[in-house]
Amino acid sequence: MTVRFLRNKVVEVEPQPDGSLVVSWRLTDDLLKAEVNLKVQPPDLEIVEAEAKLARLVPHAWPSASEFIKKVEGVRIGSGLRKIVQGMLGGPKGCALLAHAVLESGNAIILNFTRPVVQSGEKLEGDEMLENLKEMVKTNPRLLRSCVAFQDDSPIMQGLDSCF
Amino acid sequence: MRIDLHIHTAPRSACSHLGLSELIQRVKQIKLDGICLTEHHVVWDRGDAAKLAEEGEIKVFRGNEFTTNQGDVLVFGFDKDIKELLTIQELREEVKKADGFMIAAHPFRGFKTFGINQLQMTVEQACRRKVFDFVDAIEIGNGKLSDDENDMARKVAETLGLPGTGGSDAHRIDEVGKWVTVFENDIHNEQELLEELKAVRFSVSKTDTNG
Repeated sequence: MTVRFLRNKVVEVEPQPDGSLVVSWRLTDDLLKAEVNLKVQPPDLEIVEAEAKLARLVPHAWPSASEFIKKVEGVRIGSGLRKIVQGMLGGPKGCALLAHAVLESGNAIILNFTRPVVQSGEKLEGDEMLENLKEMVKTNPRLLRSCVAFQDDSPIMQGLDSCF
Repeated sequence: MRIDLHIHTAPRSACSHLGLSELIQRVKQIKLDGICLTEHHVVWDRGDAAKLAEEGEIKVFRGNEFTTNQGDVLVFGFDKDIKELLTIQELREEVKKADGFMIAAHPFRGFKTFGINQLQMTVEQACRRKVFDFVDAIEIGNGKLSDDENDMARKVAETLGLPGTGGSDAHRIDEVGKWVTVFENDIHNEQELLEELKAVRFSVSKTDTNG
């Protein structure tokens, strides 16, 4: 017997005329249709509006999506988001799908800002690229030892001891 | 009296690599007068903390770092063991009943990524964060944050008229004591710590711990 399962998922970030960002997360598969829309207000990246719809074969144990998603209104897309969203939407009485959707939407918002910076850094070469990376670590000390590139013995870290 | 008000130890904080014996050695080496153990959603048993203090011959106080819907909050004078995430309003209610003290921890901690710092919030915008309506103080010196992030916290504290505290947020040995809270009076127990915090008889200091 062949089991076939098809799932499509898309996340889009759309800047709004009022300066806010709307992120739309949509999933459609053979069982479920889900849609989550978050309106996020810079510079604090606060979720000011949250909407969700689940349709088709929605598990009975899941809470009402349109009400449940409101718990993330007022939460900022920032440091610690994973812990906050899991705490609010996850767990045995929560809805793992909505938690996942909000986290992926948060990632999309972050990528909206990080991609241009990373792309511009990629155009640099040699010492210029190294200096650019050093500057990034200086302005964001949490990168320190966060991955192999920022370990103590990495070339990026050389000469940065006195900064931390 | 220099106290590091924000320290995570292993294994009580799963994210920490800081063992107790090395912590004690380090505290003595950098001549801290005391430390406060602020694990994530774990409050130290009073007896265990007293034993650590006695064996290490250092002053050890207990706090707790709670994650709320508005970010992390350091709590003192509150022993309740709460594992789930509370809203900031719920936590405030609980701590108020216990007559405890709440500090917004690293309120402007950035992302572990690139580019997001371009968002440049004004102090006025930063002051509007809901968390500041529910805390007694703001951590204006955190060892894991950049100078700009700490500076924003300091400006917000000044604007809102909230006191500022300092703590390393250490998860590794070399991070202990990077920022400390300097109390005007000697503190001998947790009740006195609470009293001094509430009376705002303290300032903050950044320490060069590399030497």
